[in-house]
Amino acid sequence: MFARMDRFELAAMVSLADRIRAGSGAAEEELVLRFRERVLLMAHVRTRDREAARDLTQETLLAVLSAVRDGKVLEPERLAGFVCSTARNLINNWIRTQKRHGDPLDQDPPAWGPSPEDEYEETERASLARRAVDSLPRQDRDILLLTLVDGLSPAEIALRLGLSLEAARKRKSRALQRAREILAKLSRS
Amino acid sequence: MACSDFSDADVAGRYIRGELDDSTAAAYEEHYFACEACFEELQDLRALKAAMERSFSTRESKVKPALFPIWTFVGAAVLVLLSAGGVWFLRGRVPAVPRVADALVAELAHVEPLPYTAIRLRGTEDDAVRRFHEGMQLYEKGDWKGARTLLRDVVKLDPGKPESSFYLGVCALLAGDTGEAATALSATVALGDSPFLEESHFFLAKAHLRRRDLPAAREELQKTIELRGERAAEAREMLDRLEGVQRQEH
Repeated sequence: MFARMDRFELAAMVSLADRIRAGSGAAEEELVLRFRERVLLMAHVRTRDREAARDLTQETLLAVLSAVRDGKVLEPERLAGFVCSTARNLINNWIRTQKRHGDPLDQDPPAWGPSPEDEYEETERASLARRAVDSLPRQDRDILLLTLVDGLSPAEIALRLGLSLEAARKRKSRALQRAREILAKLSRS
Repeated sequence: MACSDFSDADVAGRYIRGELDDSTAAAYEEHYFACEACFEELQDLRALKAAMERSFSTRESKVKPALFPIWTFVGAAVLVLLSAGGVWFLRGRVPAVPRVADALVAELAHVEPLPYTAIRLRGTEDDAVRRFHEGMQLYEKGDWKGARTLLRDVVKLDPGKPESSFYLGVCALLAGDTGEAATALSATVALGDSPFLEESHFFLAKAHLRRRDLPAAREELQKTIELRGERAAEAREMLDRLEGVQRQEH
């Protein structure tokens, strides 16, 4: 079910695994750089716990590196999928452990939900996003509020704003595109 | 699965809000682990969502009622309320929120926790009943997050029980999630006549006020009034105040 990587990316994954097995520290760093943010995001969304997400990310990357070093990743071209499933297993184990300890904040595995936005890490992207939102036209901000925060579907937005469904979809798509373009421009400058 | 499968269905947004079922979430995770473009989009959307929420939370604290001194922002709110720069949606258009109305709407949207008295019957409790009681114990302690978690399970296990969806809606409202609040309270209304029908309409009005959807809020207040229960007088006063503001501004 994972994305179809092009053959160059698949070859890069195989090469990465080979270099790690050969003892390359640079290759290990490359793996960490490539997957750390993905694992952290998944852990944060699923656990809603910033500290746990950081710990689980470390644990995942260590487990993956160990497996690759020992040649246990039998399909290196599926390295991305291996990292993903390793992360998910560790996250689910953590959630199950929390539940056994009777923490009332836990859920049944697989337990995940919206990240508490007040725990969103102060990263450069977060800071740029605030600037991007502030520079959006009012109409775009309103649509993004309905879409991203309130989670309304295009049909619900259409009803709310008295638009056709097609118009609501277009406005939503344009607002998101504009926001992302501003974000990209800010991050380049 | 291709990138378009996820973008067409707004999967990223729903993933961030925790609205995906497990298999779709897992499929999406497998995808963004391998797809740079989709991961970039996910990170952008997450950052933008956080920025939108912070932006409204910050603007609220800058509401300046001084221009219209007859209105003052009252009370130490339990919830983060939307601000003067927030969104006022009327059917068919999206005008700016007038400052005087915004303070009023924020005041009317304020929610206090409902007192709850546990009633436990003799006999064996099934899983749903047990979880409901556990959830309500957390509710009584003010742990809205923990209560919501358990109440969501209860609603899934037994969607026909109005008290479960009602209290899930109230917890969501207290926790600041107007989307889930509206969904859960609407589900309670849809279950028909129950001891929670009037309160559901009343709290739905609160949820709509928080979203600045004044026509929907008025509708729910009107339905509350028509039920002629304990909330009728309060709902009537809220409706009068909202309509008073609208008359002043036109």
